[in-house]
Amino acid sequence: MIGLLRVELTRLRWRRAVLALLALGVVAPALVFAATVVSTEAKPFDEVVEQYGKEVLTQVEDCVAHPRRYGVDQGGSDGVQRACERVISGYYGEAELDLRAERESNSGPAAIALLTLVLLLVGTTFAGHDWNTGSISNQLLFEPRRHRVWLAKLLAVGLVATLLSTLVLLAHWTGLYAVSSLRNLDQPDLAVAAAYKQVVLGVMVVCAAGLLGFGLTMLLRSTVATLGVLFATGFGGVILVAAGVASAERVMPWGNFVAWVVGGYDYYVYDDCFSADCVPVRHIERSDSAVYFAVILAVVLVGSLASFRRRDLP
Amino acid sequence: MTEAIVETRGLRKEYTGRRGTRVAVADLDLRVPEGEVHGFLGPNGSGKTTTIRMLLGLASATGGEMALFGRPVPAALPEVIGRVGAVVESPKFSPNFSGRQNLLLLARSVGVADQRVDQSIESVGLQGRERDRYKTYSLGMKQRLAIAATLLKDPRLLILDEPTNGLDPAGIREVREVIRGLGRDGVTVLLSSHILAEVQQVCTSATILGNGRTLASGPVADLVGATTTHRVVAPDLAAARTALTAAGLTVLREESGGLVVGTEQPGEVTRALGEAGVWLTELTPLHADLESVFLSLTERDRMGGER
Repeated sequence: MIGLLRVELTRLRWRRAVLALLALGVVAPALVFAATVVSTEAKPFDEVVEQYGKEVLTQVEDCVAHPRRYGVDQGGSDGVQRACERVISGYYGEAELDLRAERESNSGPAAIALLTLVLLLVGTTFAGHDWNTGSISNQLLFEPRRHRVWLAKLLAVGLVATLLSTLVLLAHWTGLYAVSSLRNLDQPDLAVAAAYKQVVLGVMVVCAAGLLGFGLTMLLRSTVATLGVLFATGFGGVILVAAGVASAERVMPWGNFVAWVVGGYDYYVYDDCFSADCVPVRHIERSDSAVYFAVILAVVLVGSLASFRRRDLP
Repeated sequence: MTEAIVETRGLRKEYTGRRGTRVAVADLDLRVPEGEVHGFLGPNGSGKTTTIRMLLGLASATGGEMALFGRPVPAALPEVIGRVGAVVESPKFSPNFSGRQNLLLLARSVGVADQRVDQSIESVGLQGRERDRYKTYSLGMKQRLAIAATLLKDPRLLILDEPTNGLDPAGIREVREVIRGLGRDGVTVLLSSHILAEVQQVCTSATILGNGRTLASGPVADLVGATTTHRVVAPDLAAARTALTAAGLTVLREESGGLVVGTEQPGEVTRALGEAGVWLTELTPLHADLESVFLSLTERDRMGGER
């Protein structure tokens, strides 16, 4: 089995399309990192006040009085005052590097999303090539135990996805932490630990995406068919939600992705809201999204293996 | 009796689709004894490739039994595959890898040393081009690479499906020599081919398929001897053809101003033509070849199928 895994890793390494995608998986998050570093080169709050006048202080006072209006969490460990100063500075294009904000809504989820898409394509391209060229038949003339061939390919995709996402996400967060330290910025307690927790969550979802792309392509036996299904799911979901079926958001990938990466996702369903005090917000917990992704992955992988073992090869 | 290296009993393959069930292989019995170079003949769609694919585990059988080296397949395929080299239909490799890279991946998947790859490349005359991308190869070179892949495992059974497709005359001769040489070394070869002269030259025995069934099987010499053809010349060939066909005789082809009729009994020809009022000007027994046998059997089978 180790020998087969080595062969599949070599096959992966020799595939130029895969290498190009892996390079994209490094370059795209690197650009996100660079953009984050550049865009958070903010002035100290005193200088913002000096430049934009007392209106800034008035807004900060209002923010401290009504933090939720400004999207500031009252329970924040670094204090409402400081959080409000950051938010209001951001209104003037002077946002400081905030590791918590990066983790919850900015570069952290963005880097993971990019890696997820790239590894989804890696898994799809890697498996699709064998089917497009028909070389899968040739491989089985040397190793007829189909489950071993399938498993070796799956492990190769999983290993590459895990390795790449670990390196890229660790570099991203270590880099942001280094920049934050160099700029002598105060960060919320446990911000670094939370960031590295997100690395683990990110690696898991990126790896799952690679396996999903591989499994789906082995099932459908075509890169184009897999991409078609994925696009149909993505765009079909958008159209469905736009058409008013808001509750469909529960089973759409993006909401579950955000829920997994940042710990929760809110969406709005007005269908049942007829009274004034009705709150139309629905929430997806991380555990909900874990079940969502686990079920999809299990169904696709089991179907993929069963199909590969039973069906005739072209 | 020599041990059968390839054996099928009642082998059957059905494809079920929207238009119903199509039988690709119908209760096929095939036996290839050890050390033979066995021709596997049949018109397009007769079930040759499907049979080969079932033997190699690429397609599942609907019914019947198969064995390689006396071991039931596909269950025991992992045990015996190391002794089997195969080319099925057109060669299938990754187009962006070099020929050598393609072979290395296959070799390493079964623990064959890289050195063996270079030996295989040399044995099919691809040295010098082995580091070029596969997609730049001519069809003949692709066939050679496929044959090189079969040699990686030092096989005791070679299953070759149209191995000379796309090769130039020199390439065909080389492959023929390779097959003959392997036969001399005791390697059993199952050779599916459309080039009947090639099969007659290379093979010691053959099986002829039609509509997924065995039409004839045995040593090539016996197959050729079992069927005789006659050349018939008459002033009105069209009328002669009509009369012979109406009498149930098989007109294999028209050549050099006469008809070649597949029959062992010249009396049947004279009677059929006499009754139709067509007078013979020439009736000559022809030396049978595998092509005549093949055409005679498959034509009869086709007509039987049409009836």
